Amino acid sequence: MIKKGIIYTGLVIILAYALQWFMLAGLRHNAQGVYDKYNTLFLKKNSYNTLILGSSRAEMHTDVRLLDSLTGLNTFNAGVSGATTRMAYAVLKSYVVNSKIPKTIFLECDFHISHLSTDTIFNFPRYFPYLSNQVLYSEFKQIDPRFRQFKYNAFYGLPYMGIPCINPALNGWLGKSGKYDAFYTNGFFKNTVIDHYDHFNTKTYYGYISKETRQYLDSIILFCKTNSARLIFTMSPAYISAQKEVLNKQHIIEQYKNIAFINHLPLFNYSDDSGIIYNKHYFEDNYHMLYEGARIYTRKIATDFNNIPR
Amino acid sequence: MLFNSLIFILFLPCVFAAYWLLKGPWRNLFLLAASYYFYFSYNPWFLLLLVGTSGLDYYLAKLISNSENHKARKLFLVISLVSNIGVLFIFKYFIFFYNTGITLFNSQASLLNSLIIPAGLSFYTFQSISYTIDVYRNKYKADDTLTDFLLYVSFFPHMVAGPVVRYNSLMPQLKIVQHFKTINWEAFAKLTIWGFFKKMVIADNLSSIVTPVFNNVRDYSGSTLLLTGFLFVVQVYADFSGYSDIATGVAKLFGINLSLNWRRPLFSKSLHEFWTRNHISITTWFRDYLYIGLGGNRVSYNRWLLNIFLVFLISGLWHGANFTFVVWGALHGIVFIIETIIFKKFPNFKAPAFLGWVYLITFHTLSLIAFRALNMNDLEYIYLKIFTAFHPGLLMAELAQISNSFFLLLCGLFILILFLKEANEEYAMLNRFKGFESFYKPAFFILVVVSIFILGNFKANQFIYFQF
Repeated sequence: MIKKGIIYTGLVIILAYALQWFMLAGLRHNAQGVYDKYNTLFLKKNSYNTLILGSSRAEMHTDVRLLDSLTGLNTFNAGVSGATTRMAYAVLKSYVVNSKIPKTIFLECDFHISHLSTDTIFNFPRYFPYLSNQVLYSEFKQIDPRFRQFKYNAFYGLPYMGIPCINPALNGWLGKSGKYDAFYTNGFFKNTVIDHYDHFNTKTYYGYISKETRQYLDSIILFCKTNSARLIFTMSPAYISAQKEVLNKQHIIEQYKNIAFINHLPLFNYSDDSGIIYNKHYFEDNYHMLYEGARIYTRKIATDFNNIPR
Repeated sequence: MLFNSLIFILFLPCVFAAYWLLKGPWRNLFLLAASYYFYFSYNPWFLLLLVGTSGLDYYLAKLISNSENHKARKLFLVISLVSNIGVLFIFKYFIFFYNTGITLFNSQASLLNSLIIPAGLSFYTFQSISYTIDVYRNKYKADDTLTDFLLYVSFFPHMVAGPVVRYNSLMPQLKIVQHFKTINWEAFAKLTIWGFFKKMVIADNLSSIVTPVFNNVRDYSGSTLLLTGFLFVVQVYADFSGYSDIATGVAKLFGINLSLNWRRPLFSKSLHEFWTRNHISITTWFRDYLYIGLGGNRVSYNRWLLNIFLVFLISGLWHGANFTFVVWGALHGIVFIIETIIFKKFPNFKAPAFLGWVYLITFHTLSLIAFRALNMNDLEYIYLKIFTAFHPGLLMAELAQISNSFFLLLCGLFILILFLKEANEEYAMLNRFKGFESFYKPAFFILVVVSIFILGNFKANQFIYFQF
């Protein structure tokens, strides 16, 4: 009985690790979509001269193809869903492990979440296939210690991957694309999602720039200075109802302006751009623009970029 | 503390190790403490209720047992019944009757909000009731040891959602000193693995299709509502029988055999057969303590049929204080009576097996829709849609709104696995190949374990029957 138990347990362990390998390798095989984006960011060798850093707002608002066509840059959009400034820094550091250090970095400053500290990583199973990137692993492990388990313990990691990862893993192996894969171009997500839910609810609060946000802003600034990369702060539009959400929004923006001023950095502030923020058709929700809005915003920052003295 | 929670995965090995390290007399005391901790983790205050009702029943049963006076015995039984049913009534039905009364009589008084129902309230009160009634019926003498009796009521594997175990089945097992060597490891592994698969992979994944549909019934056509009703049939079965399997498996770690609670009810070919296979412990409880109490079949023909109907109606109400449950019970009562009349008039009548199965599944689906509907308005709407606006052409488009096709395909696969495994047990298909059996069974369970990790829903959903 004990012998049987050991054999069966061994087989379960082998099968679980084999399944984990199959899933992770399948996800890494994706040639399109979000997993391809993360492959590019964390595993591939790239020579983009410009990087867009930030959260889903950066990911959805800066159309890199359009930006490149207007500025002559060669850009990759490294915005990732749910990223705080600390995560943006982790993404940047992980990116440069395999890729050339970009000459220009646009950092999306989210005034509405600057007070948050990073206790875990949003949608963390998406990063499991890329934990062989040692910098990514050690940065994420510091944010969320469970990453040690995610990397080495299949029984801990598999439940978090679950059914949502099976389909993209199979797509990876079969060379097929998923429902939203074609929406990604050089990391930019073309947001055309329109559903019948109302995402424009507001809840007022006072925001601030937390110690953590400030610390990692400084880290990004220092990284850029050390590596002679030009850093540009951007603030993309938020819908009119969101303008009223953060009661001291103007104060936070002033703080960002101050940081930019002290460090001689340009700040393209379109957070309350009157040409965009009143038009609901440009927005999916308070803080995420649809493709049409993203294109207008991208044109604006391209113009600003071209106007910066070289 | 849920079986499918991390805390239980830590709790169980600790209790197991300590139980077997202790000497004989201390084991039951420890198991009682562990069971109370298990219950305490749901809601500390409700532990007092559990201790109170079961303690009272212990003393009342002793008084019944020691008394020669018939009137006194009856009085003690009535006190026990009133206390148990009173607690059930207060927590489960008082607000329902109060609000219904206010609505019916157009009273100006304001409606009350529902109370939190103690987990497994009816399961442990039913056990206590069965004990005092059996003592009253002189089936056995009252227990001498308070702690043993308290453990019988609160033994943690079955306390919250059954099976409802009879005193004469569980107590002899608790009284003897168990030997470690007698643990049936194979049964423990098979039952818990399959139980977790049914709960976490089948039931909880189906729930993510069923819940949005029943929460917004007006968005869907009759065909989608009927299909979702069928998915709910599978969900409830997988959820509840999964719990019973885990409970039975876990009990085996302490050398305890709990009674069989489910015998593949979805393979029944009539409602009569269904009720001999479905939730057996509660069905036999209603039979022994309600149906027989009402006179059973030793009454006039019409009264007999009325007894059947009443038992189903009350069992419907037992599930919850909502008219939808009453409709469910009434539907079962009516169809059971029709079957009874047919079987009595045509004793040799036997429908083709497949037709019988289709009839049972169709009826069970339609009736269980009443069980799941949020209120009577929704139920009326669902039945109206199924019978007047079926629109099968809309089915795929509506399902696509709820979930992606890959997930729907997976859910179909889960249901297929459930039915194939049960068909194999029902008809002993693969068991005929003796050499093959020793290969496929371990292989199957190994695959099941791994698939729980990847396909299981780990958001620790509550078991459906906790609320009852």
